[in-house]
Amino acid sequence: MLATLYMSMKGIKTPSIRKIAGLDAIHEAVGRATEMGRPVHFSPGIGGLGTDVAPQTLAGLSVLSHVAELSARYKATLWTTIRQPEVQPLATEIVRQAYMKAGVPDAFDPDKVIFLSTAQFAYASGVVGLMHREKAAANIMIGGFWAESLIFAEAGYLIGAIQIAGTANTAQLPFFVAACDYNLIGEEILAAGAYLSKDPVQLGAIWGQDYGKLMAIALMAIGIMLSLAGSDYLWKVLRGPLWPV
Amino acid sequence: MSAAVRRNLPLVITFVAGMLAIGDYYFKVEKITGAFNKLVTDWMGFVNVAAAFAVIIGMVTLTRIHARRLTQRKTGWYNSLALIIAMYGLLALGLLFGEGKFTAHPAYTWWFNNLYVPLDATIFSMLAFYIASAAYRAFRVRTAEATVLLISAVLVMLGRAPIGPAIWSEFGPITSWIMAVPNTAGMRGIMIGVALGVLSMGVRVLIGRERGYLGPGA
Repeated sequence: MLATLYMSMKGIKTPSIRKIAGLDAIHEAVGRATEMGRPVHFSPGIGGLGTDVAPQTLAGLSVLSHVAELSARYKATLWTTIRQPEVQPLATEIVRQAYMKAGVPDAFDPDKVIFLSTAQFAYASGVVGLMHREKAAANIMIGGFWAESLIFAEAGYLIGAIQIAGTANTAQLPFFVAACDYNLIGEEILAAGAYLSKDPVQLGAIWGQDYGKLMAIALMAIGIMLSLAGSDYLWKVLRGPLWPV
Repeated sequence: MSAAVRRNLPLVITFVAGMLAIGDYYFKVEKITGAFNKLVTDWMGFVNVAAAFAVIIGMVTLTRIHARRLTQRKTGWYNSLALIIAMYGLLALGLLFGEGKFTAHPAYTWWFNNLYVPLDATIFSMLAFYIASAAYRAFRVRTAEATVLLISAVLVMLGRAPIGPAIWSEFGPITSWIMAVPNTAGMRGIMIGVALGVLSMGVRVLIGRERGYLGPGA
C-alpha cells in the first residue's frame, strides 16, 4: 500500500478506480431534492470517534462534506442528525465550511446540524420524526449503523425519498440493500473520501488495497493446500504471536 | 490564527495522536515502554473526558432548537415542551437529589424504567413490521438474483421456524449449510475488504491526505 501511495505521489502511475454508483447518485439525490423544494437528510451513523467504528464515522463525515457542498451550491436545505456528541462540532464545522466555500455563508443554519440523543432508539425516533415532518426528498446514510438502519430506511421509503445508504457493518447491509435505492457495501464507504476528492495519492491507497486482496487470496490458497496436507503451520503463524513473549 | 496553521494543526494533531495509539498497541514491554504506555493511557482518559464535554454542546443545540419551536408556537410545540421538561427535569433530579450517584433517586429510576424503557422497546419492536415490509419488496421475483434471494430466504425461514422441521426434517441441515457456507463466505469476503479499507483509510488519515472529515477545501 505504501508502495502504491509512493508511485501515485511521484506520478509514476495514476490509478483509476471503478465507478461507485452510490456516490455518483448523491448528485442526483441533492438535485432531486432541490427541484422538489424539499430537504436532504444526512446521518453519519451512530458510531463515535473513539471506538473501532471511528473509520466508518470519518467516512460518513467525508461524504457529508460533499453533500453539504452540493446542498449549499443548489440551495437545498440539509438536515444532519447526530447521535454522538463528539461528532456534533465536527459535523457543524463541515457544513459551515461547505456553505462558506459555496459563497453563501449566511445560508448556513447551525440548528440544522442537530444532536438528537445518545440513546440509540431515541435517536432513531428523532430521525424518523424529522424525516416525516420535513418530508425529506433525499435520505443519505453513510457510517456505522446497527438496528436502527431499517427503521431509517423504511421511514425514507414511506415518504418517497431517494435513499443512498452505506455501512461496513455486515449484519445491517441486507436491510439497506432491501430498502434503499443505492448502496455502498463495506469497503466502498471507506473509499468514499478518496473517490470524491479524486486526489491521485488517495486513489493510490485504494489501488494498494487490491494488492492486499491478492495477498489474502494467495494466503487462503496456501492455507487450503497446507490444511489438506495436514499442516497447521500457516494457521499458527497468522494467529501469532510472531515470537514468544 | 493564520490560515496555514488552521489548516495544518488538525493534521498534525491527528498524526501525533494516531502514532501514539499505534505505538502503545505495538510496544508493550513494561521495563522499556512502561512510562510511554502510561502516558498514552492517561492521554486516552483525557480524550474521553474532552469528548464527554461535547454532550453540553449537544444539549445547548437541542435546547436552542426546541425553545425556538416553543416560542414560535410551531406545529407540535407541545412535544418540544415535553422534551425540555424531561431533559432538564431529569438532569435536576440527578444533580440535586442524586446523593453522589446521578441515577440514585427513586423518582429518576421510576421515570427511566416506566417511561424511557417502554418507549425504547416500542421503537425496537417496530423493526419486526419493517422487516416484513422490506422483505416483501426485496423478495419480489424480478431478476435471477432476487429469485436466488427468495429461495434461500424461504429455506432459511423454514429451517429456523418450528414448522419447517415438522414438515421435513432436512430443512434444518439445509439452513445450517446456507448460513455456514455461502453466507459466511460472502460475509468474510466483505470483512476482508473492510479490514483492508480501514487500513488504507488509516494510512491516508495519518499522512494527512484524507481530509474530507475536516470539511470541503480543507
